[in-house]
Amino acid sequence: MKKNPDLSILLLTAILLLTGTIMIFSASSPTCAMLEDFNNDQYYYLKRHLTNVFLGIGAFILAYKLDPKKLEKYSPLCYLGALLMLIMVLLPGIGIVAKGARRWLGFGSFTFQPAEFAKALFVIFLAEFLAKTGDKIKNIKYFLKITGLTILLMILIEAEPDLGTALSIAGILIIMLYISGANIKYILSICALGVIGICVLLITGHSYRINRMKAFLNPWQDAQDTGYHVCQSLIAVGSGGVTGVGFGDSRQKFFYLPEQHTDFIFAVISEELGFVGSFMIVMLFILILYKGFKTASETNDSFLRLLAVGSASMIAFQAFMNIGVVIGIVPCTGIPLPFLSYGGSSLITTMFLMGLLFNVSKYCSRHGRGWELGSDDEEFDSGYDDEQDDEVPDNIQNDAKKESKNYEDKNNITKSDLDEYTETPEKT
Amino acid sequence: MYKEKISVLYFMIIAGFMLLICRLWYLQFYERNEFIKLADDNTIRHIPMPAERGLVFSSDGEILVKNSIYFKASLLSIEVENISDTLDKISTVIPLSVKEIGYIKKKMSEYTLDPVIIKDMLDYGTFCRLAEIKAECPGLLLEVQPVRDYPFGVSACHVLGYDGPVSEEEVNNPDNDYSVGDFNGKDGVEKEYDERLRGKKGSANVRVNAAGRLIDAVGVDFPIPGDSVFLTIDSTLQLAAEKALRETIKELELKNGESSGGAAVVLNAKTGAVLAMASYPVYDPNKFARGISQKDYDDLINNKANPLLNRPIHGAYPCASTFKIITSSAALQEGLAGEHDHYYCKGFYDLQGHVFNCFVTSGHGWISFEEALAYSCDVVYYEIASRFKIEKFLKYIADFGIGSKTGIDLPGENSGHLPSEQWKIKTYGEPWYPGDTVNLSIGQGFVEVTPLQVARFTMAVANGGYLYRPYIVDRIESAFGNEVEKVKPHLERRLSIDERFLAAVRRGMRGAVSYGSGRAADCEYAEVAGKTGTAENFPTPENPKGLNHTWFTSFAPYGDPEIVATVLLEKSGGYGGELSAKIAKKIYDAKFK
Repeated sequence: MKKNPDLSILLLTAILLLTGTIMIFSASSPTCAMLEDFNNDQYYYLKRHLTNVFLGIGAFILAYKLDPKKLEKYSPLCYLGALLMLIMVLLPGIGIVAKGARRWLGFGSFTFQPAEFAKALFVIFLAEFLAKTGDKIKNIKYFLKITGLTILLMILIEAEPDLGTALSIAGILIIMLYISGANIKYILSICALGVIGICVLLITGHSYRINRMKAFLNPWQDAQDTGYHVCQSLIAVGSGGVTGVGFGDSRQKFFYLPEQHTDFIFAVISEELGFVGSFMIVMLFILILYKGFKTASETNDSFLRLLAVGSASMIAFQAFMNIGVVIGIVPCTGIPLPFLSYGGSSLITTMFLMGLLFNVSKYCSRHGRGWELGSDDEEFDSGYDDEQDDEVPDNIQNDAKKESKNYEDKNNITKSDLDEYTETPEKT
Repeated sequence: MYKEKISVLYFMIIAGFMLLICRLWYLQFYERNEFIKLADDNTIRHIPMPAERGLVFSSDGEILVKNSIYFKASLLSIEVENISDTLDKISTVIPLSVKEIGYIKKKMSEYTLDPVIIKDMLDYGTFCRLAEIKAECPGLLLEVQPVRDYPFGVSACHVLGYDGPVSEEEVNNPDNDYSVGDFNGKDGVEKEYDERLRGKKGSANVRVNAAGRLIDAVGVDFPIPGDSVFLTIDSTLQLAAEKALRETIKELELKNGESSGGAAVVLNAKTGAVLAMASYPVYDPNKFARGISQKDYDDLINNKANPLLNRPIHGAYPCASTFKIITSSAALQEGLAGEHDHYYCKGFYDLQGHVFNCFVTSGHGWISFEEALAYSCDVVYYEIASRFKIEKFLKYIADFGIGSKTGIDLPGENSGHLPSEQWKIKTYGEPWYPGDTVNLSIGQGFVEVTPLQVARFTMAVANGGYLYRPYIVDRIESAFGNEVEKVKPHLERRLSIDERFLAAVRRGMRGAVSYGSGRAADCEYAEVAGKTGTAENFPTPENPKGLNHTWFTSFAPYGDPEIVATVLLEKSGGYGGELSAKIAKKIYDAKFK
């Protein structure tokens, strides 16, 4: 069948992209203006972020235009591509080292983080694998196969080291396994294994992790050293109060907060915009999750469904972990906040995942009865549906129509859907 | 099936996000004030703005202590480009010796963040000339240097005290609001009234980043200048007392060939206000205020005459014959002597085989009670004392304020010493002998007093028995001129002596000046009444010749006493009537002329 995409996804993307741009500027400009490292240029990060935004929009359009059929077909390549990049980044002389971690590939001023791209590639691969496996995932053989492949990626990522990304991938694996009906006992077993693995890492791995754990349990005990990040972050969030200190007036961004435009940007947002602002940001991520899960529940194709769940979950999981660190309920792991943290690879990956979600939304039957939440939101949703006809350019609509043809036979459109969308003439 | 799983998963994740929202609400609503305070502590620095220290005035309006502005030139090593060139340029304005240049260069090579001081206490002219070359000398730092100024120099130095940089312990004491580089009073009024004189420091509040660099200004808490303190000191009397004391002691030192010291106290006879308080030798508080050199300080500390001692309140001396004022009053009150009694002085007194001599060894012959005081006949008092029970006698002595601090508002007061039977047993392992009482009656033996204590009981005798607490500060005004606090005279107690007996004692004291031992104090402008005293000393390492201390305590006019003047000369030799009484006369001349 052929559908118009859910424009509210586009709207959410636009809001978050705009918010991110403004807040990255606000968080980074005063310190950039002060430091000679940045040529005292207050627009230093803004300029670079705008470049990332254009690349991100490109990634969004690419993901939106991809033919899901082809995506499904080439998904093993996604896995292999991710694997290759992650191996390359570990090779001395190829991977670029910064801040004590070998995370970047590239040349000159153009660098990217393969681990970030691996998140998106892994979502595609996992969706295809689980869709293809279907109910056989209950079989331990398939379960172990996909778990093994995931752990391989995680080990490579952790070797950089980048525990945050590795955890994100693990989180998505568990969510996707659950959705595709894997045995709950198996899932709980790998969760337990994961906890043991983290404990082993804590004891044997880098000493900074033990300190981070201590700092998480009681940041104020050593507020000047190990607990510094968390304490300064809590001070920023707390001092924002209900309405915030005012946009641009953060005090904590003046070198008190570490990574104030990347991992801790949410602290600056909370400080400047208060609970009102931080609540809105959390709500935006809840809405992305809602859109993703709603889209998933409204599509009958299991690959598309898993793609939607995976994309939305990947974004929401990272948001949860990042905000959790900032407000001190998750130990420090170094996960960026999608859309809002400065960082090209992260933004491109996020935009690509949103593009995928937007893409999938073309193929879903609206007002699916199986999705309880759908009925609650009927009016809101249809409101956007009414507008979208005027707004979406013809060429996109035509593209969408062309691509969706391949999926018509796979989608069982109910009678009620047909009644609703009479403008879709093609039907079996 | 999958729709159900999606719902379950969705609600689980939403629950997670709700946790975030609850935590945000907790941080940003319930705990927000705590975090706002922490954020302020984080970012707001208070740059102290010093408060101007209060002024000190005499009662007749002379400025005794003020603040002067000087300037300080220093170099910031991180900003100086070429140290030799810079010093060459600076030495065209301030002549620098080779040694000084060497010292500065050595200090500069240590690359400290603290400025290296080139020279301080620069005057305004030098400051202006330095300011002209400042542009050519990067790193040259010119600062205002407020300095405590004592325009009268050594005058009243012991009363005023001096101020100096706060010590490390004072900075570390959390009760104090001191920071390094602050000054506080170290002695005298400067110390006693430090809290009032200090004012309240202000601060320029600025927001800084984590590296401590300024972001913007938040506001200013202006400093509150210290209060002005008005002393009861009368500058005329003070200067007169100092001059008389200085001249006499210099003469004595020349004559005796050893250092000496002295004290003079003038009280308002009706209130206890201190009109003059002089001590000799003196020191210059300006030296402390300008940063005293080690040599000058050592000279002060090692000086045997101890110039830092404020003798009127810090020094304790044998009371000598001025004590007879107390003995007379107590004996009259107890009925052990009558004001019309007559005694026979044969030059000595025999107390159960122990002979006590009168200072006039030939004896005074027949002598009345009044004359005994006037001529200071010892034998009469030996006789009276032998009738006294010591407990009773000591009670009277304590009533006159011997052995207890007067409570004057100056630091470090000495309480003197009042012996007792228990004290003697404890100290000497001997009981109190009748001979001790006899000795005590003429102020010899174990009793020790400060000149201020003597002046105080003289005041009480003069004014009809009212023992006021001596005080030095008359009122305190805020820097803006409105009166903050007026000190009222404080009556400690009424002496337990009837006025008629006190009148008899006053008659004796008048006799001492008009025909007796204190004739040297006879002043043509007012009727003076007084009592001489001569403390005989045994030779000691400090006083190898065993020279006498001499006293004179007095009041005037006799009919309606206005002021009390007490003088003590250490190791003067001679007798009180000749030396100390002359100083008192000069004070009365200055007062009543």
